[in-house]
Amino acid sequence: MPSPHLSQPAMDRRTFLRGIGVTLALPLLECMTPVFARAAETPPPRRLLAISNNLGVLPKPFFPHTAGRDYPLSPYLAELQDFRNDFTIFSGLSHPGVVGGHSTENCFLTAARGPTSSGFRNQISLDQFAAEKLGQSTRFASLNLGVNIVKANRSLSWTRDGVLLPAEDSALALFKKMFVQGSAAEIEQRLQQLQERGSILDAVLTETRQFSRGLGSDDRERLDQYFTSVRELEERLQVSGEWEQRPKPAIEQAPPEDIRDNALFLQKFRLMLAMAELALVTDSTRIVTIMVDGFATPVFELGDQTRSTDGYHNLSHHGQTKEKVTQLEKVDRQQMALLRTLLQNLAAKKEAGRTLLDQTMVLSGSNMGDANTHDNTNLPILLAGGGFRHGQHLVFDRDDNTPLCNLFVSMLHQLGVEAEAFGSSTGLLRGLS
Amino acid sequence: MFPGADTFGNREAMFYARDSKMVPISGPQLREIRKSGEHDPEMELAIFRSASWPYFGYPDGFRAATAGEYRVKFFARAVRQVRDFRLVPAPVSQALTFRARTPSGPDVSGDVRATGGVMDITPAGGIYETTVRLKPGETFEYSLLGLPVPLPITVDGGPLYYDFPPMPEGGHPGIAFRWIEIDGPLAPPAWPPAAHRVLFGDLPFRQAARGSLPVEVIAGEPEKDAVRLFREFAGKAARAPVPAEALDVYEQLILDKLQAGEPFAEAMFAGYKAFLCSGHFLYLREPEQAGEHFAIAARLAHFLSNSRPDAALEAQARNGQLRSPEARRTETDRLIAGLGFEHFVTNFTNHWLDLKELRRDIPDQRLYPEYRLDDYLISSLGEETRAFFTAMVRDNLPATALVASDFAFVNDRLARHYGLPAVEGSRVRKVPLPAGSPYGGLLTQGAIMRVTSNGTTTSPVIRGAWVMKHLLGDPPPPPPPSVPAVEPDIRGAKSIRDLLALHTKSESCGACHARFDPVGFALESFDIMGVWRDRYRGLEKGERVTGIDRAGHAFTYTVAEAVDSSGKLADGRAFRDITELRALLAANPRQLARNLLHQFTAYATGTPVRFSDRPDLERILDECQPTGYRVRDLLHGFIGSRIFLGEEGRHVATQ
Repeated sequence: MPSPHLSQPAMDRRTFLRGIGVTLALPLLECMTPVFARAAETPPPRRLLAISNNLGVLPKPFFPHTAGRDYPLSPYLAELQDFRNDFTIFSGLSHPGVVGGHSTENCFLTAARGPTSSGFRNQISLDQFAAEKLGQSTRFASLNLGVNIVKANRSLSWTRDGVLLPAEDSALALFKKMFVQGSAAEIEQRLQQLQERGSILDAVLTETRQFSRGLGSDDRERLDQYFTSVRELEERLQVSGEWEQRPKPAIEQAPPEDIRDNALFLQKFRLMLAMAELALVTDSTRIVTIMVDGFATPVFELGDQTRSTDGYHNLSHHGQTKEKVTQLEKVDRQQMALLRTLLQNLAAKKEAGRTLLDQTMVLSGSNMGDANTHDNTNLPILLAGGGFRHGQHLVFDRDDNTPLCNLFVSMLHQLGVEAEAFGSSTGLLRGLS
Repeated sequence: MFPGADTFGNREAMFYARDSKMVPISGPQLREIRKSGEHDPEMELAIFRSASWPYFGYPDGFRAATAGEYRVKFFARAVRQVRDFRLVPAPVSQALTFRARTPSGPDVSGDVRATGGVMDITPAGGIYETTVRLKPGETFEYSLLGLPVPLPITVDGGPLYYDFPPMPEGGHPGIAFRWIEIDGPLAPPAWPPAAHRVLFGDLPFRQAARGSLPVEVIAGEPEKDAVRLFREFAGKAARAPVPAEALDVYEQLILDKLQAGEPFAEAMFAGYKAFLCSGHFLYLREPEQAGEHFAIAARLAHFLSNSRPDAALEAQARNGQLRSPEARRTETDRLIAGLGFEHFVTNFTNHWLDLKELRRDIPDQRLYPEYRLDDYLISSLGEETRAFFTAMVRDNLPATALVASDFAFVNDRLARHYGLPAVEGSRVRKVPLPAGSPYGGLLTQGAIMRVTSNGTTTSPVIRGAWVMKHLLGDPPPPPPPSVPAVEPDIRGAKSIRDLLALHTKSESCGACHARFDPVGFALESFDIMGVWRDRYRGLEKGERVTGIDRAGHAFTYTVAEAVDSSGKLADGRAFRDITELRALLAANPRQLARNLLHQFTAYATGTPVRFSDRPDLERILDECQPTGYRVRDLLHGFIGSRIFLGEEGRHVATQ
């Protein structure tokens, strides 16, 4: 698939305002200038793309043998040679207490402990946490995508209440959501829904103002908090309304065709990465997650005209059989190559004198340290771009892992979210700057 | 009854049997039998493991078609597996629960929930029945509580295999099932369901011809019906009468929608949603002055039942009865005896005693292989502490029960855990403690020992500080920022005493530590789960102990340094061990009682005890002193106080 090409016709601000018929003091709207030509936000915003393959990679050819800056690249990382100063590789990271084989897949970005215990409840995921803190300055606060994913059961994105947010696995549906204008009637209907919510808030506010007369200072404080949260809700409705009415970015590219055959796993992954890239390039969102559901992938094409002998999950329990290990190496390497293409494309885009890769943290990892033995420690974690000083292999204790959430907190700071803690973090990740 | 002919952990984990002897059935044979449709009524399915991962112990071929409740009926008996895969009747019952999950093969994925409650299956056997709640597409797996959980073993990344722990004396406990019947989804007990009645009363409904809902409610007189239904709803949602002017706003919202031609139910929902977003529902109004009966009723109900006032309490508020101490006492006693009290106990202990942290750390599998993946033990520990606290209130026990008692609450697992005479069944019940037992009171319960340790080691500093803060109400100051914490040495080389001695060498540290470490020293006699120990475990130094753990994995740990549980309290009183410390702490019941009042205050009013509240607390303590500071008396005293009732301006301090 060709890399997405942008061309957005600039739009006359007045035409636009006439069109929406509501009076809101709008800042210069981003969609009115092509994304990278706009009077840049200073500094340009940071973005996050988090990818997890729920079967991970073979650890041996993945992890480098030495630590520090001038480490010899491992066989897998050799695929990313051109970018060696644009990524950091981590060993000795995992989520404490997140054990139980494959059920940890839903905890990769949440770090919720004990996923196989009867009383388990998931927690908010990194992307949702960041989206919540950053607010909605793009059409989508975040996008949650999947490859071959069993949508009802698996996701990287979870709400604060531990509810699964289903992943989008159709490239075409995603494309429509991002770029295809709804009909006037559809927009009207959505606006009406928003208006209905608005009228509920109005009623509540009117009545609460009456009700609150003659309250003590303690209660007044409480009520102020209440009014603040109602106002925030109103603002969110307003933002949603604005986005409903703003034209979607126009792109020349034709809508993609969905690949339905799960055996075309690598093609599907490539397509979804291209869609994620498109979402970032058009500034449709600044936060994207992709769960690559190797577990649900049947016998599949290995990319060299051959097919795997087993489903991906069975393959991952290779038990050191040479035949299976060889196939896994192939599919792992192909995925590293996909990652390389992604990095190349992001590095080629410029925004306010920087590359989009500098502005985008690409986290690529897995909940499995070694799928063969169902090991959930020593996770394979790679972080590229996003303005960090990269180029090293950061090594933590392999027997007593450092929480992966420490890296997440460092990433949140880079995104501009001043969180002190996230999940099971114990601080910022040492050695990353 | 089972999707396959075997499961993880080999034959020891599960097999089919006839006449109490294993019948070897292969996968293909099982499929053949299923195809033939012939059911052998003498065949039993015997299971000897807990649900965990990996496992696929769910009924073959069953999936919930829709979300709802399903009745599960089965015939089962408790057995022991002895040599050569033979079954003998078990000497005691075996606990069983079901877990809802998606039938995703051996790999548990997504949501897993215990459902249907715990059943004790007897050796004589019989028909058992329960109701499980499932989501669409889910099934439920058999989980035998407290039994082994086979986990894969690999050597140098080689092929995976499974082992079962060695056979205990008397055989492997298990359950043999004869048949299982599933019926559902069950119809709701009333039609239309209660939720519908709350929203729409008796109005008829039909499949929707328009609107956004699947059904359409038919109102004869839409506007009149709307106002009537909304007022009923508001009466149930609010905890005090809402003035008509306030209701008007919501009613107008509904009427506007009806006027605009929206379907009846949709219009009602807008009003309901709005009301549930309002302060009438979201906020608890604090009683500020005498006579705010509804506010008092709401505070009392939310305190002791975690919910809004029930009809009886609301009637008392309406009649202005809650200023009378007798009426308050009657209502308080009624709530304490009621079903909602359980919610109070759960939430109160979750926060006061950190019980919500019970599953925070996973026991170190090298040092404590016997606790590996024993979910039944963990949940039983929580049950114990909740049952004990419930008894403290309901049986009006003295406040000293916090640190000392001559009884405990145990079930089968806990009796074994604490080394007490065996009891049968999963229900925790009160048992006397033998003379000289190191247990008694909340202080040394496993749940407390669990939340005050980290899964690997214990620290007298942390346990001491926790007890001072939570049980004695004398919290230590926070540690100074620049001092590193004491890092325990799990090799077994250095004792915690030596490490701590180095740490507290300086006088500035030592003075403070002397206040809270001593209690922790006595608690060093209990391991991370509250089991008595004379010596610490380690991984390098000391006598080696080897074996096979609950997951079928080999383990080795060492038994090292002896525990020194002696110490000296800050006031100079010395103790040799937990028993002597217990006596010292129990000698000051007023302090224990005062702490309880502080905890009640914070929980019930959302505000810690203020300086101006202290005389009130001392007055309550004076009243309760002659009978030995009993917990229910303390609770009554607290509920009758200005702190709870909001009289004479507890709020003045914040103006």
